[in-house]
Amino acid sequence: MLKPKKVSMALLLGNKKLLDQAVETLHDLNCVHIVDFTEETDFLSIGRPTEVASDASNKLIKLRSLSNFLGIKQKYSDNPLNEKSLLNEFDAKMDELDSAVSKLLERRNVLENEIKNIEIHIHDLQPLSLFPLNIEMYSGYKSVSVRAGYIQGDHVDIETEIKNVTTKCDISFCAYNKTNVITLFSPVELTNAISEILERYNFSEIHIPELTGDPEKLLAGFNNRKEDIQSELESLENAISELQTRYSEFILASDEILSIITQKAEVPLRFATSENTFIIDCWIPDDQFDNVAQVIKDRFNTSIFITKLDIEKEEIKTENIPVEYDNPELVKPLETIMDLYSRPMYKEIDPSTIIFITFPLFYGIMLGDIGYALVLLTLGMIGKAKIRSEGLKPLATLLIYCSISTLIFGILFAEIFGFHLFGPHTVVLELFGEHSALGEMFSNFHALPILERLGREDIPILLIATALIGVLHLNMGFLLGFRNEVVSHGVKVAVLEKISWIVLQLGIALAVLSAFEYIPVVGKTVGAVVALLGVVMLIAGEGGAAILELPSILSNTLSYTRLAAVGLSSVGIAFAVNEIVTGMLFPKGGLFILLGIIVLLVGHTINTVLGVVAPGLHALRLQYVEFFTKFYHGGGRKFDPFGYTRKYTEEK
Amino acid sequence: MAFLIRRGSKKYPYITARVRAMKSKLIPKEVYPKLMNMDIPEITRLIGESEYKQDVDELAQRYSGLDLLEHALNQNLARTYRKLLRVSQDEPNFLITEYLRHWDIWNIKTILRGKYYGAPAQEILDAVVAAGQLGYRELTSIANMESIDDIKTALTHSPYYAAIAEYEGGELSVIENELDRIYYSRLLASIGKSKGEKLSLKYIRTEIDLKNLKTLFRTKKAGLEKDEILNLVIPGGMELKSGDLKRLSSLSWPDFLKGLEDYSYWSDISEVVREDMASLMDVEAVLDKYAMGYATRISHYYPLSILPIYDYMLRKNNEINNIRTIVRGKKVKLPDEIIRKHLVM
Amino acid sequence: MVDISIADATVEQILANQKGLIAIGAGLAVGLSGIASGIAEKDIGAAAVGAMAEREELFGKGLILTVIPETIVIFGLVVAILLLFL
Repeated sequence: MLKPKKVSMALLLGNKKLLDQAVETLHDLNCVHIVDFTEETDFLSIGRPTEVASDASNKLIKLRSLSNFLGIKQKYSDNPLNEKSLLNEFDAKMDELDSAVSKLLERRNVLENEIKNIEIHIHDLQPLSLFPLNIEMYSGYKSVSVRAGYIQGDHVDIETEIKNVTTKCDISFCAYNKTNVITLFSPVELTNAISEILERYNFSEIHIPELTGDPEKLLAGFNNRKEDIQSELESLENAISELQTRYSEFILASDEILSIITQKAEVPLRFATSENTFIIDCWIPDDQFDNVAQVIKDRFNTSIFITKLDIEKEEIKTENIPVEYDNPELVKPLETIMDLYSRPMYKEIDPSTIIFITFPLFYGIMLGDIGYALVLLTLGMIGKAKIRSEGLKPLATLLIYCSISTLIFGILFAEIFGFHLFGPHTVVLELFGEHSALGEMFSNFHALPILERLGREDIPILLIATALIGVLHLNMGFLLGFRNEVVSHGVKVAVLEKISWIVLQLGIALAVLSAFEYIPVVGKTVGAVVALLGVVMLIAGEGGAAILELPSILSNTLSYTRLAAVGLSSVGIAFAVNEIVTGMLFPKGGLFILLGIIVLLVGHTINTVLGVVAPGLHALRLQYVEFFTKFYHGGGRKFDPFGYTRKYTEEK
Repeated sequence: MAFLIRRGSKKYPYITARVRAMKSKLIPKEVYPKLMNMDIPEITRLIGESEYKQDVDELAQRYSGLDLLEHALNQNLARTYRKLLRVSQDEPNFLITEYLRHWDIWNIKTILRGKYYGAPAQEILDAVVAAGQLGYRELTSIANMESIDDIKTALTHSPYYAAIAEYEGGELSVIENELDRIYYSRLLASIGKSKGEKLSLKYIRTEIDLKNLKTLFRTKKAGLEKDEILNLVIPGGMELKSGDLKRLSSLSWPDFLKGLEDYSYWSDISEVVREDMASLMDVEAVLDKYAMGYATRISHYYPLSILPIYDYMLRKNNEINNIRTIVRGKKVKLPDEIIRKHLVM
Repeated sequence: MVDISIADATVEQILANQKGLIAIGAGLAVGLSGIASGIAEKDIGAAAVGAMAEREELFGKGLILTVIPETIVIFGLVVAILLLFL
């Protein structure tokens, strides 16, 4: 429970001729973690993929390209396809799909190009349509140069300037889109002189399209065509999404099968091979080793040799041993939290079970409200039922754990949506009236709250209590750290590095207790001596720099007061919303009641969201930053068995 | 208070952390021996399962086989560099932009070289990497031009026009050197005096040294005269100042090799430098490796600077070169040992 | 402005005055420590988001690193609560 699953190291050795069958067997077993062979020598080299790899890869490239084009998304399939029949019809279906897609693609390209051209034409024609001339009138002269374009500045100025150069010209202006459009017919020999003037007014030329006819009619024609194309493009998109629905299953299933084929075909790249033999270096869960050995023996008799190696003797580095969690079903959702940080190393304590308790505990202390707890519980239940993604499911379960803890603390704090549950002025009284049976029962109930967060008397107690929780949590960390150090570096180091902190705390505790006169005055001196002993041990263990670490014991402990502080901020928001509504809005009556209800809903929705996020992050942080740093290293490698978990297909 | 807020405004934390994460996704060196045992489709598929997915998926509609892989590599490189530009701001963005201009140089060289050998436009475009200021469209239109004059006109406004203004076709090595010189002098001139910019000089001036060393080796071996050599080297290096370059270029081949012993690069190249070496391939490989190692080393000293980004850019380019070496080697059926020798890891 | 000199002030006024000062102190404790942790978190947060943009699995580490300085504001809050309630 507190340790990863035990694995043993194994070596498989056999004749190369049996390689394919061996691969099949291992793939079916789906419990062997293969270690990649990397150090090539004169005798041993990395194996080569089997022939099918190349062909399957080609198919996969094509398939994935089509899948990308159609925008196929991973989804959950309820009726897996049969592998054999799928492979039989694969080529035919692929051709069908490929030609359908390339037809669509081709047509789309054509249309997109045309629409681009049309847009250019429309862009040019729009200003020209303001003038009465047909398009062909703008070109084809020998002695007349025609210019059309956008221009900035006062058109009278421009006109006079040009008229100064020549009067043998025809100038027209039109206002268009906040600028002026000019058309200008002038003698060819004056082109340069006129250009100069135009330049000064930031002239930018309109390209005259090679068309004939009335620009307005042309424009209308182009706009019609553009609409046609757009609707055709839309129908193409529809055709694409139709293909997507029709072929989605086929693509996902084929991808899966081909992936399995290439996975098997390329696995020799992870083996060591000599001329005639192959060697597979692997890890097998201890409890499955006998089964694996038996299967190999049954299928290959003695022609493939399997043996267990001694981890200690082989001097394997712990970071190279793959780690598989070994936790009860209830604790499994917490593994997500572990992976978010880092998987434990093989010889480390796996703290999943501990955070199974402490994470919801901290969460509950912070949120601690019956109302929010019930909302979150419902959300968690819905999530658990609806979510199918393996990655998110644990989070829904975690939410349920946290909401249960929140419910318990909500009862202890006697809070519901930031209202008092018991005593005078509570929701119950507001709803049922002071003299109803229920109202009297709730207002006269005094056993709860154990701690009252809505008043101010209990706050210091809450702060001290959370700091004490911190002391307990931290020391649990030190003890776990002690155990980890004993395993990795021996008892002496473990005592000096971890127990020293506990000694230091004892010393401080003695001194503080005697300072407040809970114990005789001698305690002060004894405490100081004990604390000093702790410091000396620490320096002996971790060196002089450890002195810099000393204040962390204080800051870490104080850090746990966030359990109270974050909770208070959540209560504060709820309280504020309630006060606004019950104190200010409801008494005014009428429409304000409606407004009050809206404020209530919005306020508490926001607070619920904050209530998931803030306590979640802070509970996480207390685990990761305060707790884990005392004992946890992480960095373990995931146990990744050679095999495939099929989603879209089945073998038979 | 203001100084506290402003200090981070150079926007390095985001981009350097992101680049580090990108660096961790580069192909690890244990994978190269596996790639060598794979066929081209397998390699394409494998890289298409990671960082190259978008490129392979898109291009597989149009290309297949080796073409697909080569295009995917090029497109990915350009895309990666453009992504760096997109996700960076302020000073890092400026420095990346300036540094990436060497792809403009590369592309101009590629096009001119392609034209010189009469390669079709499509083949030239296969080799360009649109990571600089010249976009792929511009490059396409330039590559499609027939005459050198048209190309020159198209590049009139580029800062590199000076290098090609006189070019009338024919031998390219002078132009290529001139392009490099313009690139580096502009780069050195554009980089200002802020602390972050000075750090970038640290790497760039070393890169100039390494480039000059390559030039010196090549020209010395070919027996060029001092003046000719001095025309080819790039001023502004870190250790090889103009005095050093003058001295080294006037020495005879054996004395030149001895002269190099005074510089810090010697410890890295001494192993492969022989007076009677037949090819300079080993030396150049070592110098390339040195550039990468140097960038990595100094990026550890200045984690919040442009240096980790340079380091990544070099390594990404190297990854692509390595894959290309493997697949091209495979295509012409080179023995594994030779391919392995060409890989820089 | 109401002119209050200490000599003329009643006991109630002085107490109210002290209460106000305590509230200002508490406000400063939360506000300043909030600014401080904000400044400290700014670059870490930017870096964490940068790393996460490339590798989503760094979410956990990024989160932890980002929230480390926020201990400062928690201390501020605790100080404020102590000021107000003790």
